[in-house]
Amino acid sequence: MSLFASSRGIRLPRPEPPARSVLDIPPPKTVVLPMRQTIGPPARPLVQAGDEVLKGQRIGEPEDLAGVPILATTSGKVLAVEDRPGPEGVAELSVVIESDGEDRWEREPGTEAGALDLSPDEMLDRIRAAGVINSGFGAEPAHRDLGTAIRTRGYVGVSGTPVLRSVEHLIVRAADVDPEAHALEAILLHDLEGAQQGFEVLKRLLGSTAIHLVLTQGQGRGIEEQEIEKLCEPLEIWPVPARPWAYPTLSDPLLIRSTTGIEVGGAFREARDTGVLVANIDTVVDVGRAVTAQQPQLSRVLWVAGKVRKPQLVRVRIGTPMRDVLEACGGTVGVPGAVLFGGPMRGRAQHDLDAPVTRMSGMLYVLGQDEIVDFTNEPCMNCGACPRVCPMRLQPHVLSRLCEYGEFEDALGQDLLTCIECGCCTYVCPSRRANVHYLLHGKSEVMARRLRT
Amino acid sequence: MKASLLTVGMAPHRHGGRSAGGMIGLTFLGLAPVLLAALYLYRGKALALLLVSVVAAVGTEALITLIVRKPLRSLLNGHAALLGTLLALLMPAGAALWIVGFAAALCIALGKMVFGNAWNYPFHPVLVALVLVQISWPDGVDQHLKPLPMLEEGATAESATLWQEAADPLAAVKVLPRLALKADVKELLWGDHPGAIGVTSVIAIALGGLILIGLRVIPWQIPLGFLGAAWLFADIFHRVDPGAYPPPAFTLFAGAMFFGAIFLATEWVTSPSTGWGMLLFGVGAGVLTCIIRYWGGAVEGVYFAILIMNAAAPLFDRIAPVPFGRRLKANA
Repeated sequence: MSLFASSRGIRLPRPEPPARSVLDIPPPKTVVLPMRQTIGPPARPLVQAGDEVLKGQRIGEPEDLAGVPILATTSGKVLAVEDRPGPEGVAELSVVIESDGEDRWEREPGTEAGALDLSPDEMLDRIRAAGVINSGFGAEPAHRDLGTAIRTRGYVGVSGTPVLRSVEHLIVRAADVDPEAHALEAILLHDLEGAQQGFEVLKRLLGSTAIHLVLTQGQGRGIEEQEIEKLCEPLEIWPVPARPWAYPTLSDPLLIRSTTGIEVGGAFREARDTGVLVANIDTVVDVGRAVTAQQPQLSRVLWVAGKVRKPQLVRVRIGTPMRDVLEACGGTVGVPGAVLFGGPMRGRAQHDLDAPVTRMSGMLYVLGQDEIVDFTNEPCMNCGACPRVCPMRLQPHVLSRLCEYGEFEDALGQDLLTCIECGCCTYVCPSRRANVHYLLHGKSEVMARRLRT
Repeated sequence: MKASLLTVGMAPHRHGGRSAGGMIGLTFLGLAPVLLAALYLYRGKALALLLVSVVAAVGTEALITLIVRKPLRSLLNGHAALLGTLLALLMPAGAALWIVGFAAALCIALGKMVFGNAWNYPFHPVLVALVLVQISWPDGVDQHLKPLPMLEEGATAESATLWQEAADPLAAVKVLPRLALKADVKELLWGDHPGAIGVTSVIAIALGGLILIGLRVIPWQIPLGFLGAAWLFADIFHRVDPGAYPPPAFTLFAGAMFFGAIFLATEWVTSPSTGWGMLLFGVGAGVLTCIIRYWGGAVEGVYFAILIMNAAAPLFDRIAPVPFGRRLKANA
């Protein structure tokens, strides 16, 4: 560790959650299901306007095996298949379903005995069919993450059943990257049983993998120690204490380093190439349910915070418009300035409250009009604040200027692609430069040029 | 709800609250002890110098901003006032006021504005102006007066004679190196000796430096490298020949060494921004200062040393850490 690397990143305020109970929001009258709910190409719609659909029915088929199917999250009639505002800020081809209020299942999920004895491929098929994606910013289909990790290493037979030895470390995050979010710790707290089930499935699936569970701890507010012991000991899970206020220590690369000592950075080496997989706790729960009960992933737990009357955790049917979620939380305080999918440091600002909650969302944050930061993009004064905080040890001020002036190849040579877009450099910049914006611009230009050649 | 428009922007949507004006304001906070010391030591003379310099600096910047038809808003960050203040603090109490005013105008016009008002100047504007007027009117700006408390309360007989002949301790030692052995360290620390109005009180400067480092306005690496290297360098030569080279305490506390290390070398635009780069930048400036003082023509080496290092700052920026995940062997 370098002499100058001790205090990288920034410290952010971490307000206490008012309550950790989860409010179930009733399914909305209409759900909007974008065909793109993960990275990769959008799915192909299987239904037409006027069709009757059942809850859990497959309504979108992925282009290839790497994608996940899109499932109807309620039963009812298809109103339209058309472009609707999506969570990424652009219009997405979506299936709009008017709920009949009956929530009729296509096939009721139920726990099966012996699901743990399924072969890994069968498990993966179930995970895929349930549409589980790794929540958070990677937004990769879970079966692909797990599957790639398994198949690159091959089979190792243990005790008759073909178990796949693959990922050496599975790091499960039960604390949000964003210091203001409390969704993941609440999911673990409320669904210890589901988590246990998920861990059991993953243990079978991944073989002799070291599982690290990243937790917030402290003064009985977090997860009770005995409960954790009860969860961790039989499954040989290593609890890892988190420091959520030190941002971005819980982002993938820093988490991998702090738990395994491996530094994986840049776009060229992905974490799973080194035998490390990072997943959120809700993915673990969903994987467990998908394998043992064939239960599809139809809802998400969202942490709704900021300028809303009742900040709280809500369980939301996928496809619910943001507007309904905000209303369920008592509406906004005053006129909202910006509504973000994600936290204040990394969230995507939405321009239309009709955009639906998708599998990718984890937090809904409302900023007041007085909280909008004006990034005036004054010239860089070379103060040295950003290289001091950059967790990736980059020179953000240099990269941001190179990208501003279109010198993308130069920026590439200075490890532009190592940037994780955490936003620390922008947070500390006295010249109020939108560094992340410039770096993202540079990355997209570099990628576009690569595709062209 | 359609009627209320939502703001759409890139993440992050939060800001730590720092601004250029705020950083300059904090720098003034760090300068406060130094300003108080200068006003205590030289009273009205210091006030006149400061006023003339700041007014000339701000006026020049306003004038040029008007000429190039840019919004005058850019003056609000206080940078011109900061440069003017720093320049005044580097002037001796007896300096002709017109020279000070001219230097302040030069500092803004030639040091800063010709490179565009956008933090792009390669050399510290204050030092550019200072060196130019020192070369042009050596008599006009070498009028080192004795601080008032020293005259009023009557300093010790020894020190009164010690600095009688020369403008300041550095000049005296330049002529007669042995004098340095007699220098009273306490006197040097408090600033009870002739010199530029802002640079003599080492204690006030160190206090300001600690404030600025604590507030993370300036890095700790540059002052540490600067003073540490100068101390080591001076110590080695003093041990070799105590008669010809002053003791390290004298080298550090006499002249503008502290002021330069804390308020001049740390200037954001003209210094490197990586950890090791800043440390080595400071080391270079410290060693150069000693070299110029011991064997150069100038009495005070700090200003030339920092200017030379300014020119090399982009090279030090190349001493950057290896980005995350690029240490190939560690990942094997």
